[in-house]
Amino acid sequence: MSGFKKNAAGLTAFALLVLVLPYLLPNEYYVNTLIFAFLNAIIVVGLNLLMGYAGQISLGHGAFYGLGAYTSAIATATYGLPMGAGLVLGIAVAVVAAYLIGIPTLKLTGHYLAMATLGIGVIAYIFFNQTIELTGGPNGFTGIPRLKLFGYEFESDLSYYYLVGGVLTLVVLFSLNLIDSKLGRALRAIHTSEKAAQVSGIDIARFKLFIFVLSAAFAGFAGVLYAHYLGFVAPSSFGFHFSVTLIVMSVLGGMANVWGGVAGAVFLTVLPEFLRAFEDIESIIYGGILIVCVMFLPEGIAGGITKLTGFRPGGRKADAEK
Amino acid sequence: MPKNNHALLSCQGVTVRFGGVTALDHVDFLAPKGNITSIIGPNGAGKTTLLNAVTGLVGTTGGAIEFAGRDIAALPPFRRGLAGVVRTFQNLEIFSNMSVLENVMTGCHRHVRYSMLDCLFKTPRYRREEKRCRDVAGEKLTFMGLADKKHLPATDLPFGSQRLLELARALAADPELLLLDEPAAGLNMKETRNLSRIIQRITQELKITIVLVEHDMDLVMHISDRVMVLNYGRTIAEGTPKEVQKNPDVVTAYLGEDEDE
Repeated sequence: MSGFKKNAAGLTAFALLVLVLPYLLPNEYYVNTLIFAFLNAIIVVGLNLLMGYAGQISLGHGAFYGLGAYTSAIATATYGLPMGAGLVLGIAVAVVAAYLIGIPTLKLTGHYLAMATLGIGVIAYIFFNQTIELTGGPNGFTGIPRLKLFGYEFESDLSYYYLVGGVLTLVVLFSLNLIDSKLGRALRAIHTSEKAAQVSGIDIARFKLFIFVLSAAFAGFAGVLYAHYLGFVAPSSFGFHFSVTLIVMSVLGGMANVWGGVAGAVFLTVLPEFLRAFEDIESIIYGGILIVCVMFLPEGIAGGITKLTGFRPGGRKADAEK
Repeated sequence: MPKNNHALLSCQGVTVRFGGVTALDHVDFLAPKGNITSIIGPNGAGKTTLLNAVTGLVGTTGGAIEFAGRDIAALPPFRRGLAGVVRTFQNLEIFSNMSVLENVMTGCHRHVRYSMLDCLFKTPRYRREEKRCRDVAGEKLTFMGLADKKHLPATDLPFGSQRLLELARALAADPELLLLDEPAAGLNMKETRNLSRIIQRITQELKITIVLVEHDMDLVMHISDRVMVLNYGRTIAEGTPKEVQKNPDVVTAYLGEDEDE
């Protein structure tokens, strides 16, 4: 029961932090950075459910992000559909794509999902580049309207920040509740022993498909929010490099931990902003920090916090029950 | 003699081939309800393959597998689990990323009834079912004598206790048929005696039918109602422990042919 209370406490603390953070920052530019950090966090929380809990690797989540972004952009800017429709369509296209990839690959054991998603990421990238009439090709797609829901336009960066922060909080809540149930146990069971999971009556193909599609839906959702924030999307934002960055965020934050996804995404999105000052040696310092993190925090940032404080954010071990 | 004639599990002519190797060759096997039926035989005889065939982890090339009067040979493994056929593994298959309690709660999977919406909104039904699942899991751990270990990470348990944990997880599914694949492998004498008592209590108190694959002959002969002997994928003997022990084919299979013959 206190696992539940711990989740509630963590969520409340996080929501409060999201609320006050803009007032602690020296200028508006950091709000902009945090929006991107939160968008990445939405994707990485989903990716953590897939990789950290269910043990399935996706090398193509950038593609689902891109599908969400482009679909909503085209639906609203090219076809003039209302924003709500763009949002739903953006998520739906990501979901359908994931479903179609997942059905054949997730029935197989082994790293077929990683290979298939690697391929899909590359195909999506080529698609965004080549279908110039539809997507604007390498030059990008411009003129995407700002997000407007229920008559309210999220015009200022601050309002958009609160929107994205709110969505992220809900995504975290959703994920924590999902994990703290028989579904979460089934996913973790699949991760360690597919045989034993099946014997316990767990339909492993269905659960893997479900969590893969769910993580794609999170990525699609983030993509929609991204497109209507920036007003401009280009294929380079959704390539293989971005998919790998997402995985690094997941590993660095702590894979089998919902909060780890948030920590990793925020850390790795904000870090380059601070390293700008070092100009030429920026990449070296970035790489160095990653190496140090992996050496000293094998279970990621969230795992490190657990070790230091004995508190396991959102996790379920030893003291979580009593 | 079987305690009653009703067979909970009945395999007829089960054949399994791996490429050119015939691992099981038209094997007939009955597990009467409420009994402990053991399968013995030299290494490579096909004992584990038979359990795999019954649980669906390997496909059969021929034969029928009937469980509670229903042919399950074509069902995927998880459907057989849902139907009440549960097993343990020779090489432990503990969920290493969970606590002891969570391992056993995962075993309850088929009896926990709530939808995804229930868990997202933590409805009363979710809370009730989770509590029930936790209670059942705790009960099974008490049965195994692991109640005080329930909050430990599963991998912190010593080997013998991990075997019992796997057994607790299987029991949490409240199976009708429990298949044990060499549960005594790697246990010391004291642990084996404890295991022997536990297996007997499972049939007597929980009324669960057991199929046991085991190399420890003392254990097998002591607790089994019936014994089947496999060699090279074929049944070479079947009967009560006493009958099987005296069977000359069994002696040959285990000790080899007499050189004079």
